Amino acid sequence: MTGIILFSIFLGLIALRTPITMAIGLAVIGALVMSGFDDMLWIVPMKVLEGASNSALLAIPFFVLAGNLMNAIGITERIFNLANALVGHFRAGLAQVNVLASLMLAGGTGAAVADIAGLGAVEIKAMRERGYRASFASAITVVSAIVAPFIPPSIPLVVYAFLSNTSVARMFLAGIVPGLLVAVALMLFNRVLATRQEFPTQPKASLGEIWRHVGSGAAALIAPAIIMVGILTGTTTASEAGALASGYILLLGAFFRTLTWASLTKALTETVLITSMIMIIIGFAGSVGWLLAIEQIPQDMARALPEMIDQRLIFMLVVMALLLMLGCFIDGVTIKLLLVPILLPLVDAYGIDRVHFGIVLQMSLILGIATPPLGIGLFVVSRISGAPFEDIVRSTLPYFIPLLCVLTLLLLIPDLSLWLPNLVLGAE
Amino acid sequence: MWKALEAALAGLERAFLFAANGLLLGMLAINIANILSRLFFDKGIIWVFPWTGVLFVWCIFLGFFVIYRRGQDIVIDVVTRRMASRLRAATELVVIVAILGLMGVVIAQALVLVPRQVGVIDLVGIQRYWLSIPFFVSCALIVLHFLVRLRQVIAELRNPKPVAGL
Repeated sequence: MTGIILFSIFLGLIALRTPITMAIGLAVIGALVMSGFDDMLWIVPMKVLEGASNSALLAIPFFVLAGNLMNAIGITERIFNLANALVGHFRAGLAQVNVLASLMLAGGTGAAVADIAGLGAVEIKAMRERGYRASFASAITVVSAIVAPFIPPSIPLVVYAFLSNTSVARMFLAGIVPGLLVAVALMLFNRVLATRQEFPTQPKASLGEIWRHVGSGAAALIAPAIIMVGILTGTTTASEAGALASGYILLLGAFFRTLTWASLTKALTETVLITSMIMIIIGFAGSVGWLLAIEQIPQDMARALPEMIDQRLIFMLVVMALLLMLGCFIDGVTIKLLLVPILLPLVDAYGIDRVHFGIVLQMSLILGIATPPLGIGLFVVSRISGAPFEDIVRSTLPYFIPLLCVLTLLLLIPDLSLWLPNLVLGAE
Repeated sequence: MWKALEAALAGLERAFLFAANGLLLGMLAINIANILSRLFFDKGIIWVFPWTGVLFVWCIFLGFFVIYRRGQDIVIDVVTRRMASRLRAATELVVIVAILGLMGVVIAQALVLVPRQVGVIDLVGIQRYWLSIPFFVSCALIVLHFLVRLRQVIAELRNPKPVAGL
């Protein structure tokens, strides 16, 4: 009953345009009062304080800062030029460039919306200049950004690692193959589209041109390498690796002479706002987790559900469908914070690997950025390109064929997520 | 009075953002210094980790107020955008009152929580309750921000804007 009250208040409030952070706080206060815990309201600010001072999440501001600095000092344009030199001559060339550039930038931003905001303007401008429809350019920009939360340093994977008590390094490694798989699937689909539609073409870049762009673009690819090497070798903690990557990008900005006081302030401000919002949501959601645990809701579900659904695959399919549906309406981090504490006992009861589950969960949720009515990616790209929202949605829909194929593969073949972490860190 | 309050909130928004940016930059600087110290002198700076934690908490809580001043929290308007302007304003009024209630509850818990947060934070040297003070200050400022907005919404409800073309 407590769970129903909690989620009903939350959904009712967000439907009334209540800011999500406040909706979680109000829902938990409502559920506490209705469950007879009205003398325990201090738990709400206490959980916010506990969430904010959790050292496992210290890496988040540095990872966000690294991505924002990359955007602020114009690394995105260099990455786009490098991707263009490498695959621009393919059929549907700039659509392929769009995917490859997102894959390269993902290592810096680790967040899909940052990828759209950073690369989107450059990519869409170039695609429109070469005759691509604005809605198509916007659509490929949104779907290619889906790669970002899988390639280290991924902020959503850090949050999941914190919630599920798994290692950040293991989650980062687990995301690499799925991220590459999404990129390959999108590029193959672009190739298929190119056999049915006429896309503008461009000549192959000379070796000299490629080399010139490698010089400036590849410098950006060192940032994710710093993070992974630092964490995996134990030379740095995850937060120190993020700080080092941010320091490196600052040096790049100084070297390229694109680092200004204004760009630094912009990157810092965006980082403060994004990080504060994530951490305050985590804080309020902490009280939700506390209330659910006190009421034994996850444990009750873990006992009851396996009797109703006896197959692990069916359970995963039900969860995936639920996440895909919720992802159309609610932001992924919020869903994760509310549902992971409930789902984890079930995941354990069904004998599903937490790392594998985290990757399937991430893939299901991230599709929400490209789904109407509330796909945040669609809104951001519509603002950048000026293309009508409905046209972008129409152009985006076909891309759900390769994306859902990847999701199905990730669901059915756990080794796609587990092979790399098991290879590098050993099986758990 | 309301204009002065709005101006004060705008000034505080700038000050909080400046401070939060400074704290973030400070976190970055001390962590890089620590890594370099380990690399070149084979000796870590032991106060860096606890101080990073403290600066991070303050940075988040200062940013909390700025988020609402800048309307940066996520809202979903798929239902309300279909409403008539008067109904939409009435809905916003309900939401603001609910937010004021939530912030009121949180601020009231300061009296319970702050006295419990005793003890000096290791290697930082400040009392533990200093971690939470910026949170409660931000909550109080969010209350003032939404009071200003509440007044605007009530004014909108009393004098609805004429629909273009009518």
